[in-house]
Amino acid sequence: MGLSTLLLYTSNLSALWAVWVGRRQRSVLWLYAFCSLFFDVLSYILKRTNIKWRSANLFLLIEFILVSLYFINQIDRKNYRMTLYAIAGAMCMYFIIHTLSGTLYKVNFTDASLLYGMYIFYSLVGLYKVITEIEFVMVERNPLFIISVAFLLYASGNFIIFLFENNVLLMNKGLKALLWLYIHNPLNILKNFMLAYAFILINKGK
Amino acid sequence: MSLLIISAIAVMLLLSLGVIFFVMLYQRRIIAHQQELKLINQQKELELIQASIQSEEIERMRIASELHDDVAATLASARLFLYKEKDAGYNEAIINQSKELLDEGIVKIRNISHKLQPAILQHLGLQQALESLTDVINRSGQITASHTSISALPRISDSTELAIYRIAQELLTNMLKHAHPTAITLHTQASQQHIHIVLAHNGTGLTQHTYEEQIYKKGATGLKNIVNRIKSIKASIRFFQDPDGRFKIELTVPV
Repeated sequence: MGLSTLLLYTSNLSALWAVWVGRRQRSVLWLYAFCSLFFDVLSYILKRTNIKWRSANLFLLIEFILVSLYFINQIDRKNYRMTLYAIAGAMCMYFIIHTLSGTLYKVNFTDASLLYGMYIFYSLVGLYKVITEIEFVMVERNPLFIISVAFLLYASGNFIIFLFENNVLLMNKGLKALLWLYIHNPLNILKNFMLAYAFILINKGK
Repeated sequence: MSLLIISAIAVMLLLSLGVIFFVMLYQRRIIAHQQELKLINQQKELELIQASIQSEEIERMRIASELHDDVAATLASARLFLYKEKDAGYNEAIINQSKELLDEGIVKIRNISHKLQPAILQHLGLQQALESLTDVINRSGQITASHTSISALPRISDSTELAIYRIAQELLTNMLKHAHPTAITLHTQASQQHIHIVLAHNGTGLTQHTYEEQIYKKGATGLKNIVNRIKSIKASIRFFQDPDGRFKIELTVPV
């Protein structure tokens, strides 16, 4: 088994640990981890069959809704929360309309990069909360810090890939494969493992 | 273009890592600052406790010397006058009674004065002062008090010796008042870093849990004084019951 295959399979199944560890919490984040695992496996199966429909658009939308719910709920001020809900709602609508107006057989990566830009913002909000409301002496023991770091790294790495996926990278298939394999997959594994670690910390806190 | 995309991804990741490290460093700095503040507050609290204990001791010394030098001297003069009057042939019975009352008053004042300002502690040190505490209890004849020692206590700073003496004095007073023991043992031991004092009795005493409950209750001034004195000398105290059912109080003082 080559490194690329190992990375691909590990990435597809990396959310399994988080799903197992967080099974008793049944929180928004656990649902996100579950959807990650489900859609990773589903998209792998779909690629190996003749079905042309791609599940990624649906996953991107569900991912955005769940991640938005988690991070926006971390904000204490109601007016900020409401504003962000409105912005997230508008982005969801834009993504749905734009995706439906195109083709369902093509993943809407360009708009997904906007959603990933939003994750970067959410992560920064999470990190801001970590440093303004110090609850843990060791920052590494703070689940919000771990989750924010996981999404910041994951979204930062994927933002550029998604942004150029449908135009520049379509011309350069070699680079595209390379980026998906060596940037997207390791970041996906890292994010899912960090989610699992955050679930462990939340379990310990309870 | 490929190089540009790879560079852009690298820049994004580096920026993210930069933000993460900034958050970690910033949080550490804030926590270090908070700990520093906590330490300063603790230091201030300690200074306040020490100042209040010191002023209390000064006041005790002032009252002791007033009693000893002024009131006792006045009573002694009155006694002398009574002696004179006796020689002059006045009612001998009344004069003798007055003399006895005056003698009793002088002894009482002397005792109070010694309690307030333990001269034995100043001159002979903690070991003898603690022994004298058990001797006083023994003299009552109702309770057996004994003192055991593995190694003689060294002379330490006056304030620490006084604090230990006052703690032992308060603990013994509390025992006599509330525990109703028939036998008390005071054990002292010194090592290079610590002085250990163990008070044991066969009455009804406190456990660590009840002690910690008591100190937060309204009243319990004696116990609160003990807590303050313990803080002021950075000592520790432990209340427990040994397997034989005897209640013990262990005081450990860093030298």
